[in-house]
Amino acid sequence: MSLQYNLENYYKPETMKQAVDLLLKFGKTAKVIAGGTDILPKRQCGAQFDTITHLIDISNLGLNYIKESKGNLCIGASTNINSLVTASAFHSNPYIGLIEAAEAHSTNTIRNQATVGGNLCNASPCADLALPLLALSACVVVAGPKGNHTIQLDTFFKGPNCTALLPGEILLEIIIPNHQETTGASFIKLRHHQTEVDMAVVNVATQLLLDGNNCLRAMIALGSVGPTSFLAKKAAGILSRQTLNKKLIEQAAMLAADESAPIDDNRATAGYRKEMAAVLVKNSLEKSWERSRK
Amino acid sequence: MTDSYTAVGKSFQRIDGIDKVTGAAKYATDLRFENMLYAGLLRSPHAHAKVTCINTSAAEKLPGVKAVATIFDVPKVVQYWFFLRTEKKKEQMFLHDNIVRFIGDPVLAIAATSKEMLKKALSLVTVEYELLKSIQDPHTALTETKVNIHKKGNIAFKVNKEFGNVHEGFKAADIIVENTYHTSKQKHASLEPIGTCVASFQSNGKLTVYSSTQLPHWSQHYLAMALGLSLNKVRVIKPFTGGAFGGRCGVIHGLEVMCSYLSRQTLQPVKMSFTREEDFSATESRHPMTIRMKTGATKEGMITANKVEILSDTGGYGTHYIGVIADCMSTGIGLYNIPNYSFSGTVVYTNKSPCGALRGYGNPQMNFAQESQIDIIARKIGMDPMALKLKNYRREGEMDPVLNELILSNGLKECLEKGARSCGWEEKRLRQAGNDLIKKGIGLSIMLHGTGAARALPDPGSATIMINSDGTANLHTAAADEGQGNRTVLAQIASEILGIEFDNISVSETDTDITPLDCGTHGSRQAYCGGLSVRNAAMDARQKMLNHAQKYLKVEANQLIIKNGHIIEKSNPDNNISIKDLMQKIQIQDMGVCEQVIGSASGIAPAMPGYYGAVFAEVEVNTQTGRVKVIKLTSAYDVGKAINPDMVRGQIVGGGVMGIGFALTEGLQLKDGHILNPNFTDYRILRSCDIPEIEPIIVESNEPTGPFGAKGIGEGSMVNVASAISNAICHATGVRLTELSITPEQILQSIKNSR
Repeated sequence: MSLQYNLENYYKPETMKQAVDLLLKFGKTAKVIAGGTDILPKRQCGAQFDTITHLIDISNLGLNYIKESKGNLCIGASTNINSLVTASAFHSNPYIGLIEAAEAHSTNTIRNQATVGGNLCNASPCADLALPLLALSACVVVAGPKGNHTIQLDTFFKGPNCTALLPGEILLEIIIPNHQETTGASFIKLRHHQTEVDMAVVNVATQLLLDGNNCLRAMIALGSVGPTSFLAKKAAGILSRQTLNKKLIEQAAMLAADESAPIDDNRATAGYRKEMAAVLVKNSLEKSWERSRK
Repeated sequence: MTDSYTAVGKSFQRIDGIDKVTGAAKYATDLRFENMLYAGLLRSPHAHAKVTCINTSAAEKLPGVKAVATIFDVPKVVQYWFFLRTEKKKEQMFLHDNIVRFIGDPVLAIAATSKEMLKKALSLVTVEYELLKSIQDPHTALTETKVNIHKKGNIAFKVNKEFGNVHEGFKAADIIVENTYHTSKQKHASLEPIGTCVASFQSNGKLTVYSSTQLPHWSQHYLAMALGLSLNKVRVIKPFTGGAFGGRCGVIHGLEVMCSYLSRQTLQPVKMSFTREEDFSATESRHPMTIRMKTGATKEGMITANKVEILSDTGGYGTHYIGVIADCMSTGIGLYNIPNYSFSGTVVYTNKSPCGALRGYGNPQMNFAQESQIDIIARKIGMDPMALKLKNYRREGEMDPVLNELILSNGLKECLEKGARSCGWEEKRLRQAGNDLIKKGIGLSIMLHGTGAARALPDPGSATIMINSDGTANLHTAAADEGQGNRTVLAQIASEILGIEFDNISVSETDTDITPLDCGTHGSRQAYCGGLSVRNAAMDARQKMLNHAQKYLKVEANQLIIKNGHIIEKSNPDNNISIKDLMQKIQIQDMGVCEQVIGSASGIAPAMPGYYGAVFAEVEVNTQTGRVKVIKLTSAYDVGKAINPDMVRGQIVGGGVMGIGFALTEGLQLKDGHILNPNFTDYRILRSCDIPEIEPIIVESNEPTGPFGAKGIGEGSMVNVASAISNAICHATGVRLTELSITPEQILQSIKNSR
């Protein structure tokens, strides 16, 4: 037996302070809603969200923007995912992975509704946008009862559907630091047979910054192969300051798979996921490498 | 003759199309009535248990709770209409006990004034269970003697048949292929969830049930028996329905009967709607099967013997398990002329969600195994699979040994030839897969499916047609339209025979109080069986019109024809009268007559003709990930005669989509009886963007017993898709998959093992 939310308990605050106060007031029974594409279907499925009785809609808080500030690119938390695809700011080499992830996220209809902040705050281990943002060394700005503070995205995810946000805190903005134009990036998502729109079986984003064939910076982010999206730092580490070659990439891919800790679920077995993590990291690194030379 | 048809063979728009796209069409979930109560089920959290105590007192104290019905009060319907034939069998249709047999088995239902109150009331009920050992594996069910899921044990049904002598057949073979195949627990996944009903018991003792059923009249029979009512006191109305695919082929577990009980207690309308999760986890699904098959052939490509052993898993209850295993046999044996054939089928109960009818009805499972075997044989003897099929298929004029009937139409050869030409079979078949990461392949599979169930089940069809005084007509039929377009097709048939324009024929709602007895929509039967009833009713009305016209045209009826809305003397076309004028005269103006022309027909179809099809599947297999993409299906089906070609194409494309799902993406996943994917996020039916090009090809073999030569299409279009895809994967990679749905991991593992 599932029920829709009761509209009496739906709030649309006009100021950040009102939003934070409402969150504090209702505590664990409240949830922030932006696009609603995760929260509403989950509610339909019953049990998991049965304790949530208050929704705080943040779409009136002016968080729908993409802008440049102090050399960084800033994305407002309630910016919809399709806005990333159309924003000229991301139409250059280092951000190709972000565009690829946005386009792979879901259908056009859902992407017009779903938000970048929502994709991160839902903290699904298979969240597509989390991976290029991790690879881009993004951080997030959080508003809360004690004012604003910044969290590295790398430490934001704490477990499945669990983030570093404390009671009363709201994600405001995602900040992407500046990257050199020659940075190569890519995002690859493995789906089940035939499907064009589906949650990932494994998803991977990588970034490579090269000087000739000398790797200055390597980033490897993996999804769907652990309790959270994560950076495979050991794997990336063996690429840094090395001369890149196919063999080294294969070694890094194997190492990244070692760093993963997938589980069996209804999409795939852990064994298959681990194997595919290596395949996807290898393919993604090769793609990023090729793109970095352009 | 063909060219002169005015309505048959034309792709008329469906008569309910505008209502559906504008939202005017009301589905069962849209229905609201004054004083309506909301009902819901409390379901068992255990796979196998005895209910020892149900405490509803706290729930009943809530102000909005109006009635409670428990499994102690209400029987379960556990058999299908085959069992309506005798009093003894009828008794076996109902089960009244306190055992729950799968997770989700209904324990009680509550009716309350609001959904919120209902939810609260259900949460206040406490049920005590005595846990019983559950059986999840069908092989365990076979051997386990201490745990009995039903009184008669865990074996629901057994069938053994032998035609010829398989022992001799294998002796004559040069090669023998033996494999074991497994198929998945596919779900109908109709866009309207299975299971919405409003039951309304009036104080005069009449029960009206609105239910999205495929079989309104049999539902009426089941309900009458379960509630001890006479048939005239039970009225079943089927509103618009959002797909069925077999899932509404009978009384739905815990739904109509419970609702009707609650309404009888309260004398208020009671509505119950299953959620998508309930649809997935507690309504019927396709029978998973383990099929062991041993096939022998000569090196020249004559198939000499086939030995089939099937273990079918019907879950905690079974309604259609006999019919489904029988269809495995009849379709498997019917398709090829294999002189020696042995078939043995066993159906067992397990503590899983129940199985029933699903598009194809056993045939997709059987076809996957048998068409894989044939493909393997073709590879082994180095023969084109198409040539092997053409050599062995059962032709027009041959006997079908299971049905013991002559095959009067079989357009399979044309299906194969047209399909092969269109997809470039020969050229693509010769193409080498090469060393690319992504390998391309093409595979072929054929099928036979019966139309209707004239030799297997009570299968009545009826229709009445009333001609109005302005020359328009009303067709009354209970040929339940689940979205495939039966009502439109039947109106076309009536229009053709009556000479009344298609737009001037209205088709009734499906309502047992006003439409005559019809078996309902199952077994791809409505264009054929429904079509025959309508054809005969229309011919009856036509003859009556001609008889009346004699008086005004002063010629014998046999000298008259109907053309363009006029009754005309054959040899003197100037002597004519419009249907409208004639009807005005006989119904109103001529006070000595005052008679309406009413045509009627009722009866069983003269045959259950097979319809045939060939699917050519083109795939790409990524050998790094094991991921398969179907690039194109070329699907040619012999439908006898396409009364409405666009609707036939719609069925072929829809079957293709469901077949790809059966092959690659669908299937309920269970762990300890829990269904892990009871939603569209995790149970993947193809989305529109996932669907590859599907080219439908219509072949018309003209079935002599059919209305205008028509036979079925609805189920067959999905039957041989999975086998064609599996054969294509083998062509691409050299590996043979024996388990549906095929996972990327299986493919990858098989490729590794083959190296």
